[in-house]
Amino acid sequence: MTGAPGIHRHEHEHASAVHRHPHHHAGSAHEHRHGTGFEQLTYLVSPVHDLDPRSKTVATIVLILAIVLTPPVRPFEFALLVVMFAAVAAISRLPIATLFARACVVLPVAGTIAAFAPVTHSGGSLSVGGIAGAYAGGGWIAAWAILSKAWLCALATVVLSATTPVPRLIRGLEALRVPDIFITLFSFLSRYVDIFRAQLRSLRIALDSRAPTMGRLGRWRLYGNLAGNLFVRAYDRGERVHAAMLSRGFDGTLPTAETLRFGAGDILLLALVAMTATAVALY
Amino acid sequence: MQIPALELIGLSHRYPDGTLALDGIDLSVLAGESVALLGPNGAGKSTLMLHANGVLRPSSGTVAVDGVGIEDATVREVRLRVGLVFQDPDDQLFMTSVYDDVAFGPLNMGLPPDEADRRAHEALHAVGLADQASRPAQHLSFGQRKRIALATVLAMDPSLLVLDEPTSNLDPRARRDMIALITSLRVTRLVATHDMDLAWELCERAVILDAGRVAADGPCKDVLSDEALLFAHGLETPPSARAGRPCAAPGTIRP
Repeated sequence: MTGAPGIHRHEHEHASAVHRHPHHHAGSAHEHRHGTGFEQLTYLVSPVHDLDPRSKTVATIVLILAIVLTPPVRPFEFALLVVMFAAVAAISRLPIATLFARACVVLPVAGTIAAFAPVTHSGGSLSVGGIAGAYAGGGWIAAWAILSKAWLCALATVVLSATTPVPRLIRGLEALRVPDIFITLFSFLSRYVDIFRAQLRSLRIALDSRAPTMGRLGRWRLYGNLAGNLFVRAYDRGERVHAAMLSRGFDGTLPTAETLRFGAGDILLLALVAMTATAVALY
Repeated sequence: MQIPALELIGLSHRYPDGTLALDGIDLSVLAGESVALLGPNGAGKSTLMLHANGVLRPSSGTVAVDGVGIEDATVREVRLRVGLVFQDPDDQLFMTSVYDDVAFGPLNMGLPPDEADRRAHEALHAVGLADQASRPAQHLSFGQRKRIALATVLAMDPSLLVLDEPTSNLDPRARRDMIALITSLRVTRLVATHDMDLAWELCERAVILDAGRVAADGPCKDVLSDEALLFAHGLETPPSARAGRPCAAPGTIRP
């Protein structure tokens, strides 16, 4: 439908990357602005970006289940999975290092849990030879399992979110019959998380400006007030957003203009993921 | 007799905490009028605007749009006619892309996707931001978000536009652009604002609201030149009026 007035998808190349997104067609010229940061990756053109969001979502869930529900991954198995994700990233024309680094955000959380594993394993190993002792050995393996699995699962979701624009991801979840209430929650989360982050930042800047000499303890105590303030403002905003939605005829669903197509590539993806998951489970 | 685009009769509203926000408002806006709603903070302007499309319901009195009283049975129909633009665009833009946000109203109206697409496209053109269609709203500037908020309502082709502070927090250029944009729209409008110059330039009639009551209602050029009246209600004479620039003439909107 190129040439007709309206919003179109089109491909275009600049620097080295090819991008595609809905845009406005003004006469013969293509005008548009690009997204920034991580979001921009989702507009690249690649076979993986082209896949149906439904098959990508299901594939990600299957992989995560296979990784989580099986015995600790061995180093060789871990290396194979990393190579597989790297291959997917390469096919998707994504910067592999960025994806690996982004998956590391789960490590502090997983690390906290993992840190207790050697101490608590076999009913508390500290009393029998300390954390370097033989009894703690199983605990170290558990710690490795927690960290490696958390990172691999995060990597799987990072690849999914880097190859699927948020509106398409949401449309896919909708088509997978995820209840409307979760779809609405997820859409709002993606829309408002930046706003709350900005509000929190201005609250902290204001606090720093008004109490530049305040000690750390006093500050931590005040964070409770900040959280309360944010909560009340979020609640108020919720009411105003709801009023705005009602004003435009909201009836419980968020309509989008995205259309989905399930093709041969999606069948191939699901088959490959099923085999990978089986291999991970059996190895 | 002409049926008013918006008619409030004896409208009072008491919030659950006991605050009487509106206290017996009688106001009608005729088709083709451009009316400024002025008043100090807390005068009840926002409460009044939320009654125009039935988001809030009167504690007593009635609200009618194009002669249709707002009740549970008619409220959806009324919301198709009244385009309410909120002061904070972040309250109004809740979808994941600008395009989806502008198409939200038309798709909710049950229009076929082709028609919704055409409406969204025209509305984005009207506000001059068609090139931003695929971006998420949070990546746009505040001025652009204000314009998109207006586009989300224009796409529904309303017969009455209700604007809450359309120029607040805008830099001078964005403010000028917004005034030019609103001027170009041939739609009956009710504009709540503290921007006295905006009222002078955009509206032929001014209504002053104070403590939930109508304190004055008349032609902009009379109401906004009455320094004593304006001062008594926490307002001031628009600089444009002092500079002798002309006020908006009646009948500039052809519905």
